[in-house]
Amino acid sequence: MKPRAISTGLMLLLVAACLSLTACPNGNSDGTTDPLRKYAKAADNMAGAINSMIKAKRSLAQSNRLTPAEELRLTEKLLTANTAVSTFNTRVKSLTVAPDAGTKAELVNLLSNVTATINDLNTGGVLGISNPESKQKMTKFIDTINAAIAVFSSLQ
Amino acid sequence: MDWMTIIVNLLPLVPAPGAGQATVLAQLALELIGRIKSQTGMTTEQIFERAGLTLEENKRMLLEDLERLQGSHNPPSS
Repeated sequence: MKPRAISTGLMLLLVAACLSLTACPNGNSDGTTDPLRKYAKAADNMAGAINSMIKAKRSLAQSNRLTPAEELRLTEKLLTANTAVSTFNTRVKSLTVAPDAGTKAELVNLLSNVTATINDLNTGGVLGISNPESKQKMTKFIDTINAAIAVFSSLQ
Repeated sequence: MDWMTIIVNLLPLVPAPGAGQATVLAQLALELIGRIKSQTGMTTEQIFERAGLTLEENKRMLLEDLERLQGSHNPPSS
């Protein structure tokens, strides 16, 4: 790996780690930070589920329980979903106070984009997997992501 | 001002570091991760997730996979 790529990655890691671990509110004396922490956790869960899904996809493909065409479709749709979740995650993590009506509308809009990409990942990627066990395994990740999306139902 | 704040404020000022500086930063990152692990009991994966790095890692892995798969699906023309 090139030194510049290494250092860029490290800087990203340090900045993100510092920002997250120092700025994330731990206190909830007035109770206002609880929804924000809940939202942040749900956004992290989406990211974590996609991460686990990618690793599972690789493992299934390596053991020939996923065809190259199926893996390609999943990869393309996962990339789209990851981008939508990333945009949503960034906005959620930028919240410092409970969202007002305008911010809620913005979040709902971003969330609907996430929902659409996850639905597409499911219908266009997961449901087309021929191996039943592989399909079942992938469906569990979709369920996890949908459970995380449901946490934001109070926004609507 | 605490050390974390100092690091956060200094990092944007580092102009594309060379290999030597990258090594120093790598040691700093490893030390920081080690400290967070020992103080919080979190795993490296949990620290990355908490720091919002999972999505970046996801993107990197997916682009790697896409390159591999598109390469295998589109054999070089003769």
